Amino acid sequence: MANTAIKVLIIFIITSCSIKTVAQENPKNEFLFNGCDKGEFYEYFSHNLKVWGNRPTFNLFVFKLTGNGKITEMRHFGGMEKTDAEQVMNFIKQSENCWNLPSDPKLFKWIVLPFISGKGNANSHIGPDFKSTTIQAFSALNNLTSYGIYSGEFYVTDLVWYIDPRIKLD
Amino acid sequence: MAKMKIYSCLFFYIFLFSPYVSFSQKENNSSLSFNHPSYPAEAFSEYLQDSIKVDKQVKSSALFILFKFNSKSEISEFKLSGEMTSKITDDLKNAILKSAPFWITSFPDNVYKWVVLPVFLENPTSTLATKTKFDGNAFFSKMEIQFEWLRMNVGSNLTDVYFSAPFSSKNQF
Repeated sequence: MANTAIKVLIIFIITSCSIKTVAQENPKNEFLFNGCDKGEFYEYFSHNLKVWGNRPTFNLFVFKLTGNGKITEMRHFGGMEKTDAEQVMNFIKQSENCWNLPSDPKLFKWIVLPFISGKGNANSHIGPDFKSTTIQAFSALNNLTSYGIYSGEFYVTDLVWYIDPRIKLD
Repeated sequence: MAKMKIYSCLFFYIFLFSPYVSFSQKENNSSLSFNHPSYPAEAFSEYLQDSIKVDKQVKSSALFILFKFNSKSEISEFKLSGEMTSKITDDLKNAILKSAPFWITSFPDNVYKWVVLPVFLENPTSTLATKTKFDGNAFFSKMEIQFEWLRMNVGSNLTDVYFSAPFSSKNQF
């Protein structure tokens, strides 16, 4: 009986030591995009997603990445039309296997993906204007506090940027 | 008796080491929040908008202001991603510095966080036909430049930033 207890003690020590070591590993890579063989984050999108929308827009896609690799609770803020935004969100969902996960599956992170999609003329009066929808997108991001999601806890990815060559930039 | 001793050791070990495991997980949740008694939680941009009057002749601009917080709620750096007049720059800087006591930090001494404040200013007279119209295309291209600037200053994978709601020219002389 005493031998069994000693074995339990030894197993517990070994197990807890390994848990502690994992927990102290550099957390910097946790929840970060790992490339999925496409290197940079925006490259993954630009190589696979061909969504322009019908006007130049600034957008923020917010989602929860859980420690077991699931992408849930996705939201869209910005000027992109709903159908186009849904296509982007479907593609984000497909990236579930492309994120570094923490050792503890109970942990999670809120990810913010800034996304500029440009087609047509930003001075056009068709649809909501670029400036007001951009301001609204940033405001909506901060209003997530009412859902218990705080700005300081976000991981903001690099900008995903598409631009129609017909738009002349300074 | 020996069995009791072993069980005591087992319980002692559990109590000794479980706080370390919990602490390592808690450590990742370092946070920064704005909490002013006169405003709702995280209403930093509203606080700024009530603190500053923007001149009607202000130059239209879209940019980021970046400043750094340490664990003692001290602001150590102040950077702009674009150009603004010196008056609005000084006013915003002073208001930001005065906001320091209203930030709550909960991270270790050697850690800091960046706060990103998007700023959108527009000269209301510029929409008149005789004046230069607001240029949506130029504004559009600026956003890409601002994010590139942010990446150059803070790096990729912005995990140490607090994104504030935007400051826009709400109150004007």
